Amino acid sequence: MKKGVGTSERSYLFNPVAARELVETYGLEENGYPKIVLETYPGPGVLTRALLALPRTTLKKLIVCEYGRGFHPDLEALAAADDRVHLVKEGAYYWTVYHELEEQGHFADLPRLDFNDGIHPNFRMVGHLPLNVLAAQWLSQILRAIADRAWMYAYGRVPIHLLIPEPQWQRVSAPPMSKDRCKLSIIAQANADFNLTLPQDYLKPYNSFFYPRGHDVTTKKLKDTAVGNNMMAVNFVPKIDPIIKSADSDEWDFLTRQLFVNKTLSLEKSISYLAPGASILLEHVTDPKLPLEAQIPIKTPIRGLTVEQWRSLANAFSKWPFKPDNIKALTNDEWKEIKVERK
Amino acid sequence: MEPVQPVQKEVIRLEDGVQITEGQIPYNIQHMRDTLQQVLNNRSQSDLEKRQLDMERTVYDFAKQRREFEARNLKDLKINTNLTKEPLQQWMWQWYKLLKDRLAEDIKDIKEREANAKPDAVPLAPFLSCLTPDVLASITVMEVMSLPSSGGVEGGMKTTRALLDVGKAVEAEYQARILRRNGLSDKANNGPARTMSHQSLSSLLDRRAQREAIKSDADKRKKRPEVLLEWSAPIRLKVGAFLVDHLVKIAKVEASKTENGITHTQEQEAFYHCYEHMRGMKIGVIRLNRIVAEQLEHDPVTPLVHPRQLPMLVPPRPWLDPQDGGYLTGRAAAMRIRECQEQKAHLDEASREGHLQHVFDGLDVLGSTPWVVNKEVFEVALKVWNSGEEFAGLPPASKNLKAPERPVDYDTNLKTRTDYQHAIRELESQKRNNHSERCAVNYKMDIAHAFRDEVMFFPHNLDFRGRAYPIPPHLSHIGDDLSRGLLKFAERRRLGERGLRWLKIHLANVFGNDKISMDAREQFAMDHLEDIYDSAKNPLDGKKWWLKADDPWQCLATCMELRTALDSPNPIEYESNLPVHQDGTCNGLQHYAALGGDAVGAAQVNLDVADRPSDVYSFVARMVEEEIKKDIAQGHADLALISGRVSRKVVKQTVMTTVYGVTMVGARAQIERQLRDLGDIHHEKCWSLANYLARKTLTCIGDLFKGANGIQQWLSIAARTISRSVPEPRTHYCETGYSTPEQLEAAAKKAAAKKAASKSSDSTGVAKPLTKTSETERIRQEQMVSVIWSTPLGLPIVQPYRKTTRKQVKTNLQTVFISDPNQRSAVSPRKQASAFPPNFIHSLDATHMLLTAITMNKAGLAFASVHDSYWTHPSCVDEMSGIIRETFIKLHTENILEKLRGGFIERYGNFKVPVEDLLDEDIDRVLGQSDVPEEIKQGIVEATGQRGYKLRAQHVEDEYEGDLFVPRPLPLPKQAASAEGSGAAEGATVPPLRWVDLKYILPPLPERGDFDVSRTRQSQYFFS
Repeated sequence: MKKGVGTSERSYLFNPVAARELVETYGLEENGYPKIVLETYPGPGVLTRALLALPRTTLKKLIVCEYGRGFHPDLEALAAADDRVHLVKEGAYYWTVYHELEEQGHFADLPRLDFNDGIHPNFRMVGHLPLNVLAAQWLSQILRAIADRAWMYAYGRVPIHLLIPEPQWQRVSAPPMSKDRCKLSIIAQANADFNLTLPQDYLKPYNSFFYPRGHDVTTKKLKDTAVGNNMMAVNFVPKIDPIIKSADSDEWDFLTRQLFVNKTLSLEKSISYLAPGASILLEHVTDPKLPLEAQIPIKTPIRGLTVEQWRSLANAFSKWPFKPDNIKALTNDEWKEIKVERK
Repeated sequence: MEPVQPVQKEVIRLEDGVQITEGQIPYNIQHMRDTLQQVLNNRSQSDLEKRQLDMERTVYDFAKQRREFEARNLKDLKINTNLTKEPLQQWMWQWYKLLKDRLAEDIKDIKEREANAKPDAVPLAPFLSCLTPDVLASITVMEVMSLPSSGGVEGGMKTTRALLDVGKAVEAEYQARILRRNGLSDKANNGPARTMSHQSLSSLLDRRAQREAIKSDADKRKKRPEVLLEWSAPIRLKVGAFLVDHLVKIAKVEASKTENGITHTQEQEAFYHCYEHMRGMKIGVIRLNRIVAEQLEHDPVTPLVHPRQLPMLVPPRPWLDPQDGGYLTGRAAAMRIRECQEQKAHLDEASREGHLQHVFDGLDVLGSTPWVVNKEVFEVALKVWNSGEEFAGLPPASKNLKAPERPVDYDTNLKTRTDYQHAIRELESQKRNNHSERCAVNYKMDIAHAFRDEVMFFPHNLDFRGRAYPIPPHLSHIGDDLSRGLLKFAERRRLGERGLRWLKIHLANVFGNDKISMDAREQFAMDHLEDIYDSAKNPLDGKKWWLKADDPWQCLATCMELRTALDSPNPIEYESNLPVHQDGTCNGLQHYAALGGDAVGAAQVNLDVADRPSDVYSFVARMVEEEIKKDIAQGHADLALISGRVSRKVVKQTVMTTVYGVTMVGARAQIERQLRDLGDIHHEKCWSLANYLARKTLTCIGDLFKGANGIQQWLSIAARTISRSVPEPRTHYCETGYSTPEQLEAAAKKAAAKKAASKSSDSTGVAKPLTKTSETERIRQEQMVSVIWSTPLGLPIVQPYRKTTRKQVKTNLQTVFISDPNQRSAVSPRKQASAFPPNFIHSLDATHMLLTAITMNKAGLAFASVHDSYWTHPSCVDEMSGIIRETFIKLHTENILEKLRGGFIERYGNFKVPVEDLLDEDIDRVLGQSDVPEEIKQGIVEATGQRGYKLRAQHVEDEYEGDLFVPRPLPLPKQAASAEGSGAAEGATVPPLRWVDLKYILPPLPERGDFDVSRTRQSQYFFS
């Protein structure tokens, strides 16, 4: 494989057997509907090939988003061999990609379903998640978009099957009090159900399944962005009724962002980071009239708050007449596209 | 004359339920007007010096008085006071009162507590007791309120910055008070300084004698040292934190909000402390309550207009030493130094030795030039300003910007959401920019208004490279086109035949027609006489020809002057006071060309005699075109795209910035931008073509200025070598981890004793270094030598670039990381090397300017300068031209580079450079040098052979693909035994060479070309 632009800070599945097994766990054949699949960051296309092994009655169309120029020859060859493949030479990170696909009519026959109508029968997203910070940001954004029914969720509850680096998995799944507990954990757990599709150790050791090679033996903990981190196969399915409501998703953003600055500090102390006079919120979240699981002992450290407790905090905050009304400006880099990926 | 209409911001307020939009004067502008009012009020007073002193007398006292006055007014008008009208002043007054009382109590507490504290703890009370609580409170409120929206924090400020600024302000006020109390500055009233008015400047020797007299007088009184002790950064921080923390705690505002018919009220903090994410870092910030922020949004309280920011009414005090001169009161700095103790030390030393006399003379001369406001131009500018229109570079009173519409699919389409938010942010920043531009012009207009009937002076000081700047930042001749148009010399001089000609040439110059011969420029003015008359007579209602000029306001001033002169009964007898400029053509390259003796290059930057001005940019563009033609002939067809299109503009920026050490990457970016502006080149092609052009341009400049190029490289190598060196005594520490052999021996003895006592295997019996560092790490830490040189005038210059070491300081508010200037830290070799060539050239052009200033003064001529633009009366231009050339020749016949190299050898010659830091090209060079002792060459080869010193051939191959290289064989290492005689007889191996003396590595100077600088004497267009 030729190394090319856009290939750094990324790992790809190269084991075809594991790829086939992985595709089986996606359950694309289950309900018998022909599906459109959007694959992100395929790299050389090993997972793509496994998907293409599915019959036309299951896989109607495969849209492949890859910006790395080094991979384009391989993927173009695949597209030439199978007319179901449509190659987009752009990073999945760009919102314009989806917009353009829509404009070109690729999703024209997809029904737009309500979240109550069950899992979307005709549409899936699959792919790898790169190791860099942009990808981490992307993951956080697509999980947050569930609350607004924005992006691909405009079509309904679209499941996402991703291979994500282990550090990201630990963040997504971190329980209260875990040292990995962070904003991403809260957003993921509030908006989506998720699980590992393959056992935790199934895709280990890294070097037997993934390329480029990582260090064989390392005593040091790898950097989160380093090649060689184990990859986890994760299913994300949007909740029927996401805990974060579209109306106050900005408030959630703001709260989690400001309070996780110092996640070992108690709520009592860190609440003043929110806005002047914010300590009045403590009265609301300790209200004994609230259900027990929604009450917050004020000494709880930020990382110890459960999703339920975050909900009662967000409720109190939304109702507070003096909440800052320029929340967007205060969390201004949240939706900024960073022009780094396109080199 | 009508008053200056101040900047107004729109305020919407409710009166009897009706929305009323009205203009309000921002607080800062109002404040400055009050300060300026003092200038006006005191005009009746004849004693200028007294007025200047009055003006400088503590600004904080004045601010306090003003707020007291306002608050009293508010109280009196209680019934009618509309609280929304000017809440800012009211809040500030309340906070001030609360803070004052609270501080008084708490400082007392602290004093008692610290009296019983451990003696080694750094006490805070003495610093907090420097000023009375009410002054502290006043400073804190004013400083904190002036900071918001600085440093990229929306509606707030970085905590570190706020704490340091408050701390510094307290220190500055304290210093000023001490000075006043000791009467040091007031002595200007009756001391000899008084007699040094500008009329008596003609004799510099007199000045020097006077300076000495004043100095010894001051020394006798021994009042200086106490004042000059500076507070350390942690002290400033802690003082700042104590005050700001108190302010955050006591400052409250009442918030109220009506929602669904119910009005909620809550008392809230006016400020709150929180964190913000910036580029992946958590930054502590102090935010403003929304209510306060809204008030401040269009109305920032910018730092108070200190009298320091105004021109002076009397000539500045002469510079006595680096901390004494300029304004009549307070501490001054002859050089603007940021966090570089070393520079301060060298400057003080040079001052004690008397080396700074010339530099001080130069600064005094620059400061003693009297100026007046050009009233004619001011009246025009005032009309434009008060009309609020966008005109001749003045920003409009309000910019009509349309807010983008919120897209319908905002909630679901992430792309449109992003775009919309982007557009909103863009709009906000445009509005803010316009407002701040408007405020900046307002400052200038107000100052010009206040000083319209005064004679004023601009005290000057230096940046760290020795370039001189006026200290007042708002209105001075170094400012923008408007500032320059608003100023004239106070003194008038008879024009004469030549002066009239120069006035006309000046007109062509400011119009932008400066690439033609002098006669043609004069003709240009004559051809446009009608336009000139029209512009001067009806600047706003006529044809407005002056607006087409490159510098419209200066053009207008020249038009008016020319018209008045020509209309006077005898133009030759007309006494003019308009400054006429003479600018160097690419002044940096002129100095390089003179240093390197490049004949071709010198001709291109007008060092040589010519009948038309040469234009180096066009010349380089033509050279590049030639190269392109050659390459096309060789089959590079794709270059046809740019053939014949490489204009002056494409290469101009690159040529200009070569002097400042532009890199290949920088040059490529500059040229790429120009290619994009051409419009029809595909953006993917742009990059590769820019790459090609940048390389060609740099090569052409290199060819044109061969000598300059060699010098630039030499300077950079010298700086790199120096910044890698370690002085002799510290090499022992690098090798062993102990500062002296004695310490090492003692430690070894101890270790041996320990081994003998314990007999366990983990005691090795060898002294371990005191710190857990490797030798390489220790060398990196010890490389602390920065590049220091003296300008030909004797000004020592220290390059301040060091690796930042940050120190953690715990304060009341949060833990803060600051760089501590007193901490020893390693230099940044890359920065030292890349910045040295431009800094050195700047120090030369600064020297040339100061020399010219001094000579001009001796000749009794008025002088002002903006770096490489020299100004004088029209009738004196010929004389000044002569002086500019003479000083340039004098400067460049002094073997500047030999002296520089000599200075380096003297200062650093025996410093040691670690062998491992030698680059392969250094080794190549040293091995080829005949004056390096053979055993040193031998040592280098042995030591670097072990690390695998690559042959230069391989090294270079990466850069130039396909070039054929024949590796040069290295001298073979000789056997140790045969090299050494008696010492090696016992079979002891010679330890590998670790250090080489800097004097062996410092390359010899490049050879000079044969251009004779004295030819410049006859060059008409050298400065024009």
